[in-house]
Amino acid sequence: MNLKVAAAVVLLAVAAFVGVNSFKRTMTPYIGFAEARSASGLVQVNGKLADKDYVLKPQEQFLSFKLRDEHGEVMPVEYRGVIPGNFDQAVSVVAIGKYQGDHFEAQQLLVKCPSKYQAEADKAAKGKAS
Amino acid sequence: MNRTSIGTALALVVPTLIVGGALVAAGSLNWGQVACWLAFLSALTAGFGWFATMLGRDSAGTVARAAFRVQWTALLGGAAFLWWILFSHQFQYQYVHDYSSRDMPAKYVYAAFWGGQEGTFLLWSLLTTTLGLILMRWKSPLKQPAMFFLNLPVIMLTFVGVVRGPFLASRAAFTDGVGLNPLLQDWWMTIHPPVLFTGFSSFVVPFAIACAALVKRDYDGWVKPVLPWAVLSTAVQATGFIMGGVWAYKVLGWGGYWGWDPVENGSLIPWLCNVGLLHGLLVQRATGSLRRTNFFLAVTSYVLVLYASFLTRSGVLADFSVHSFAASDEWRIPGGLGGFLLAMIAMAGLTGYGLLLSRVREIPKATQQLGAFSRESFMWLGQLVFMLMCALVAVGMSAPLITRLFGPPSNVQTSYYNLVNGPLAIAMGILLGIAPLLRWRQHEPESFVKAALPAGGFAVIAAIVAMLAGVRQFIPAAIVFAMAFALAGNFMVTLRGFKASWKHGVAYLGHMGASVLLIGVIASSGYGLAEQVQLPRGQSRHALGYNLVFRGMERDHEGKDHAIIAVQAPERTFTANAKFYWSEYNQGYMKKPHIERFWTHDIYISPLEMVGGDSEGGTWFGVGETKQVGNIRYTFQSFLPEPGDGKMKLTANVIADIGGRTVPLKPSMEVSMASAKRTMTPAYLPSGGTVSIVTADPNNGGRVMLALPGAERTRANETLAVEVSTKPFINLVWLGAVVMLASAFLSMIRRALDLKREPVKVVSTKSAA
Repeated sequence: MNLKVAAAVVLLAVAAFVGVNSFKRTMTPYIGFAEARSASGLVQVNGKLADKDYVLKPQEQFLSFKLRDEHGEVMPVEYRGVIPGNFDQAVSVVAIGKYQGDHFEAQQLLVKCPSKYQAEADKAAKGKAS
Repeated sequence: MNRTSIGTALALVVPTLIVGGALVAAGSLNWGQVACWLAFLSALTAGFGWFATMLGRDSAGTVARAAFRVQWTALLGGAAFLWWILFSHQFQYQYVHDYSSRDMPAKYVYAAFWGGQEGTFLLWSLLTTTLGLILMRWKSPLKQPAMFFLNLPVIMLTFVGVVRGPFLASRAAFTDGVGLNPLLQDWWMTIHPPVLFTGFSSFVVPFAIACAALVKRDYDGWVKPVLPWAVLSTAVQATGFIMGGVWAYKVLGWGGYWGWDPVENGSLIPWLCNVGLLHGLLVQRATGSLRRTNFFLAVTSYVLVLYASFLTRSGVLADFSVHSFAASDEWRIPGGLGGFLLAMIAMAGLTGYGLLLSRVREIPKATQQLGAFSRESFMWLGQLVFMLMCALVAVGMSAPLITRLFGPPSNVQTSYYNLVNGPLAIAMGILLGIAPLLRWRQHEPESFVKAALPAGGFAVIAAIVAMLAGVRQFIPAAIVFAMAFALAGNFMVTLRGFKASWKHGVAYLGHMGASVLLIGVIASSGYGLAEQVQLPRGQSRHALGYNLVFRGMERDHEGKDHAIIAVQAPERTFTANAKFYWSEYNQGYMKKPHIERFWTHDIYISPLEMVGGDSEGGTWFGVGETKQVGNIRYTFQSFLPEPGDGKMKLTANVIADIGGRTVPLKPSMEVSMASAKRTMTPAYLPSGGTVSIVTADPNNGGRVMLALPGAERTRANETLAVEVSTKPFINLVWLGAVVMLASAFLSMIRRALDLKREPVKVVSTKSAA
């Protein structure tokens, strides 16, 4: 076995080791609320705003709201950080974080808003179909 | 043009135009769709023609070439038609409605062409066909099969044009359009997508030439002609994503130029594979080895282009992209285009890998092994590093699909990409520094050590400087060391090369650019400072040692608001002007950072949010009070409170007197008891404009503050939250990128010039020493 093959084997081994390790370390599974409660490590949850009664304190960069998943389960979420500017219009929210005590502590939020025009187009499409 | 070509062209054009024209007259088609049909039929004809040439019927080539020219003309016509309907605001076309609007500046109207999937596919077919026209001028026995394989994806793309082109009629009678996403309304965005699509399209040529070589059993002859194309893909694709990086940095305001978003990764993986191919081809040309690897990489680059398109365009990753711009609805494909892209992957994969498998046994092995200590061995290792980077990034971006097989779909965080690419970047830098110093075949270790010593010394000094400057972790410090080594090594070789001829120095210049770029990436992304700060209007605040005063908002001629911040920095006093406006389209605030540039760093001021900006001032009315604003007299008559379930609704009964005509207005406000959250519903004036409640005071007989059109609005208690950050040595990123790209384009010219120079050099023993 010569130098270059040895180097290649080392490269492959390092890449495989680092790859598998990093993958496991940074993996954030997309799961339901029930699993999120018992999961360790970062997870992603996806739900709709359960109601419009959320607490938004921009000065303190604090946001607390309730999410409802597709099974109808409701989970309180808290988020500390820069509030997404379009949170008022949010329909569906993806939260990345972990469950702590009595709520889901989000580190990152992805807010999905209804597109006004999309809705119009949908209506138009439905109108045509009926 | 001979008789066959003219005949073919007429046979395609005349019936299509007659039938198409009749259908246009009958109203069931439009000329855009006719162009799509003509392109599709021509692509089919050309495909059959070139297939026949592969079976030995050489005369079919003339038919195929003519059909291919018709196809290009038809696609050009389709593109012209699309631009025409966009510029003339013909909203009876759904696409025009979806991606443009009347109030859009002309410079963005033309970019609406690729605002949606359908237009993108049209552009993709047109670009691929254009590259095909260039390839068609090539004189080689490989040409006809190569054209067949190039044309295969075009048949599929033009088929999409026929079924789902951008020329479908609107679903309703629209008088105006939605407009283009404001994020895309930027100079960089008008230029960067077509460049990226050219890059994406160009990967088809190495794929096609590789397939042709496999069919014709010409396992070495394809190397030289494919080289300029491989360099073209490298150059154009890199231009595309570097432009994307500039756009992300200057417009998106994440604070970075690269976010490991699926869209970015998707443009990176075929490129990494292609750079691997490029270096493999150079090794094969010099030593006759790596034949199978190169075929594999040429096919894989194109398969990855299609795979990346599938991931980013089918919507499969929509729930996983944190940068919602990538997953915004207009990029998602409803109704089976995802399936179509899968079919394209299957087509390219089955053709390319199938051909390779069928020939793999007969592809001759290298006559002699790679020299143990030689340039080709180190290039081979470098190629391996590129393949590993490509594979690990591809695994990361496919994480939701891979993990779905074993359990809940998971995504990896963006830190994954930094973690896996860090060690590989170190290896890359070392190899990049060593390889150019070595001769092909075999090199004496003693003379190498002598040559590498200055580079090594430079790298040690660079690493020490970086560590003193604060780069303390191992991986970043090691990357700086490795890249400085690569920089110095390639500097020596570049100098030596340019002394002989520009042709011998230009590739190494690109290596220098790449190392400078990576040093800049480490410095600017890892070692900047950042601080978030709240700026109440008019008050002075400190962040990172800078003094900031938020002066207020200014509106520009496009009607977009800018936050004006006076900044006192030790370096300079300046006024930051950051775009910050409400976008109806996105239903959110659009923010564009202010970047203050210095030689050694940038100060990056990114608006985050406006607090209290919504509670705009208005005009107070007591019950029964009348006030005139402009030519309208408003009278506030009474409140109509409606207590509800956990909510309180307050409607103001207002009468507007517009030149003697009275209009009742009922703006309302809903207060949720639990959260004290207020929802305002405005009332609309017949003359346009809205009247809404700003705040109300139901006690003391009742008072209401109304926001009236035309009334002066003083915003009270505005506080702007901004992130102030520094980007050290960001200019190294841009400098490195420019050098790298310039070198890539020059290399392409060099390889194209080589092609003209016959005869082919047999197994070069060109030495760098």
